[in-house]
Amino acid sequence: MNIMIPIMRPLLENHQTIVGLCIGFIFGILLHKGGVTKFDVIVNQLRLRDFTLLKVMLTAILVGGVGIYALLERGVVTLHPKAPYYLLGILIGGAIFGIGMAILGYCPGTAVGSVGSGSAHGLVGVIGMLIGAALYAEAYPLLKNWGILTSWLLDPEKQTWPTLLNIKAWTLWPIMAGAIVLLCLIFELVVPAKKEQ
Amino acid sequence: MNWLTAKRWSPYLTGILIGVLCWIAFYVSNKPIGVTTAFAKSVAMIEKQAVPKHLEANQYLQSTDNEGKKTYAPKPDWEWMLVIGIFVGALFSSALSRDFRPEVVPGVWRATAGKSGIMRLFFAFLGGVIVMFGARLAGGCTTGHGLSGGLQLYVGSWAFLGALFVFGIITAMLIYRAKKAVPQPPQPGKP
Repeated sequence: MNIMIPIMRPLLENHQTIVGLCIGFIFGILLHKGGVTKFDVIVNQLRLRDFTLLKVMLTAILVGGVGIYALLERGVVTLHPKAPYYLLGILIGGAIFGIGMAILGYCPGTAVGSVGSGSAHGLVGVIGMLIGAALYAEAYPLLKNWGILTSWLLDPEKQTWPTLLNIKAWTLWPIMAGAIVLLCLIFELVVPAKKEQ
Repeated sequence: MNWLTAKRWSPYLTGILIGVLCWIAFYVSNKPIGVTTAFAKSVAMIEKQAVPKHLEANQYLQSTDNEGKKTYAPKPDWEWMLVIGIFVGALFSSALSRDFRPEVVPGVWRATAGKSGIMRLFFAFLGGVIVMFGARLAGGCTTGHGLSGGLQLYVGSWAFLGALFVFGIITAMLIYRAKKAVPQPPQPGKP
């Protein structure tokens, strides 16, 4: 398998745009089949009445993470940090994002997917997102001056849970797997009862 | 081929396949899946045509990465094409399961705020502005931070998810209070 990297990646270098398109194509199918390109599904997740979104996300994180950490160990992939991590901007941004997601009823990826299913309000949301990105680009120097983008820097040596908690990834993953399975069990048991309302 | 035309798959199956797709993105393209960088690039593309001098003066859109390459170069590259792909893939999947349906006012919204299309479109626009502003401030969205950052076990990404859910849940519970707006059971065809 290690032989493939030196051969495959240079071959594909000129074709990465097509590869990106294909990966997005499959992602779009999966988002649609998973049901998360629907306003009601996303909003009802945030109302804690429908746990489809969390089930999809947690399963994807578990499967994706275990596989990628296995490939990491074989030196076949690297991690890709959004470094440096400044926690203040992340937390404020996350809060703003959550508020927006509740109002829009989609996240960026699912909004784009929803347009593929005919969501006119999703399309308007996508236009709003372009404006939001442009607004941020304008606000950036101001936010920088206010110190929002450069506060609460996470230790560069401790940006992942294993490095922060000083435990091996393969000790952590079984714990994460157990927690995720437990959560999904709770979702399965708790939510059907609520559907009676 | 029932599974291709099914309207819904099990969320667990979907999650597993998305996880595998992430392996592919890392292995074949040496990149994590993300969505919001493409939006910043699109802004750069539009500004390049409409207001090129403004684009050149914009500190954010001129940012460079560790190798000196422009992070938001106005080019249809991997990240950008991925988002196009999401639209095409969802369209394809909708066509196969015959559930492409023009929608202006979704169920929970109607039960909460009535059937005014104008109102829904206005708030969809506003929500979109807010969502992307928050995403770029945080450096990613539910895909870039939540999925890709989450599976890599980045503490910053899990912090993003925490803030997202706390404020998203509070906001949704405050806005959508109609008791009638119950979730619909998944469509037939679910394994």
